[in-house]
Amino acid sequence: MTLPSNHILPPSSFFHIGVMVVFMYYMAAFSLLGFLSVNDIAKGWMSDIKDSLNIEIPSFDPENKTVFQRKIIEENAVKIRNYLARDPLVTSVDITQVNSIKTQLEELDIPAPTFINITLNENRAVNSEQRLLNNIKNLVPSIIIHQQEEWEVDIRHIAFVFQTIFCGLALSIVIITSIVLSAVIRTQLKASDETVKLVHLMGTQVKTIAALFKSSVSRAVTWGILLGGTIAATSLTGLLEFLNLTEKLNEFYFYLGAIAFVIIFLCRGVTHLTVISSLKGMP
Amino acid sequence: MINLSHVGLRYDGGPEVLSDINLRLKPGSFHYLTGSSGSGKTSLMRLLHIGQLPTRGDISVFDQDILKASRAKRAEARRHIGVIFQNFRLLPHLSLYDNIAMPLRLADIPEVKIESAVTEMLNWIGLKDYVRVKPTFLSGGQQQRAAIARAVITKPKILLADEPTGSLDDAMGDKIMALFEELNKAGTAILVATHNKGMINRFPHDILKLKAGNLVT
Repeated sequence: MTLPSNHILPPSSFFHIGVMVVFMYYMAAFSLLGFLSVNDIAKGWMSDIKDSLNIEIPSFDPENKTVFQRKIIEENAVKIRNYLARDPLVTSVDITQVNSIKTQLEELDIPAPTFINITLNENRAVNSEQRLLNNIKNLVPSIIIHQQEEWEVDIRHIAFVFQTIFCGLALSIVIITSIVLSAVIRTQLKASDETVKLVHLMGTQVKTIAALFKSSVSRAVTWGILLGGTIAATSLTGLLEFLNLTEKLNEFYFYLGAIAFVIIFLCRGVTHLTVISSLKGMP
Repeated sequence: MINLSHVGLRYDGGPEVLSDINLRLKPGSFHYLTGSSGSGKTSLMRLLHIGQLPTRGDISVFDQDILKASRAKRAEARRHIGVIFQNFRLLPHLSLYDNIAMPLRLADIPEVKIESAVTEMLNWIGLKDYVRVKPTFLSGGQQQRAAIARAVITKPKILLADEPTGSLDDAMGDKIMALFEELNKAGTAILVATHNKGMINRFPHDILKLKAGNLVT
């Protein structure tokens, strides 16, 4: 079959499909950018948290309901610091006291608790921090370990919610594109009913008519993607730089290309199914 | 070539517009189809070019049972049937050249051969100066000539013509009829639906008469 697709329908009939694809592709690119930036931020949060431990040397013993002496607290802090300095799991130690609490407690002549923030080696064995915590606990049984799992879970949840929102947005774009495209194809078929019938009567098979429609739609979708992609690449690349995500540039372009393939594949599929179902009644 | 046996047709459960039609179009046959408006001429033409399937009876085209044939086989059969529609049905977004070339393009003929065939046809129908003109800018007579050219350019085995000379003057009408006779002599079966008694008298052939959906001889 050498009949060019524009002999069935004029190319202008598919102009608005191209325009729709420009808009949809830009929206998809924007969702992708949102997904990548949330992913990056969440990863940053997680890496900050997963490699650190917080220990408190308390000033109050709740079991005996007594206040520890300032000297004992300082000795305990030194003991832990000395131990941590020798442990290969630890990369840095930060010993602090919260000033606001310190001032309030010192007015009551009660020593302030000491907080030790430990940064762990990222290339450690799974659960190796448990050994570290046990050893510290043996050194100073009164220490309080601030577990961060809840924080992690919360942050993971927040990140997951945002990622789901952006994925949902991308999926909505795909669904909306399919519905709008199907409606446009049906409208075109209705408007070109006479032309399609005539070509069919001249011996063209329904699947060939569908192929001609697919060809026209693909052309419109391709220029839509090229234009939408160019606009997205030029405008969103700047935004990626602004968000300090320049290292994600290749990933962004890779996914942008993948989305383009999905849209083209989807549009061709929807066109084929719509034309075949619309021309079902033809003999 | 085409054989209709006890064929009936009704639209959407309405009354039968064609009843018990028995018709045989053989290679090299030439028939006129006459009948008043609403007698079922257009419906019969539609059945003959497989634009519609009957509600009862059997139709075979080129020895193929059309009711049992696949859509692909029906499409293949249609390629050998040339149709001239009463309302021409030229594609408005295509030039005159592309309209006439379309059946050849559908038949996968090389573009070089298409060009020579279309040019020859345009010369013959006297529209060689209108090659790039869209049909909407042509007169009724010019459109009818283009529709005829499109139908005969593939030298079909069967030619179905619905009032093919309705918009033409007598001279051009006779020229068209002479072409039909030439095709007929080469083996094309021809069926012309017409009210034009003058033409029937000038070019006498068998007459099929439709009356209220029935064929009367």
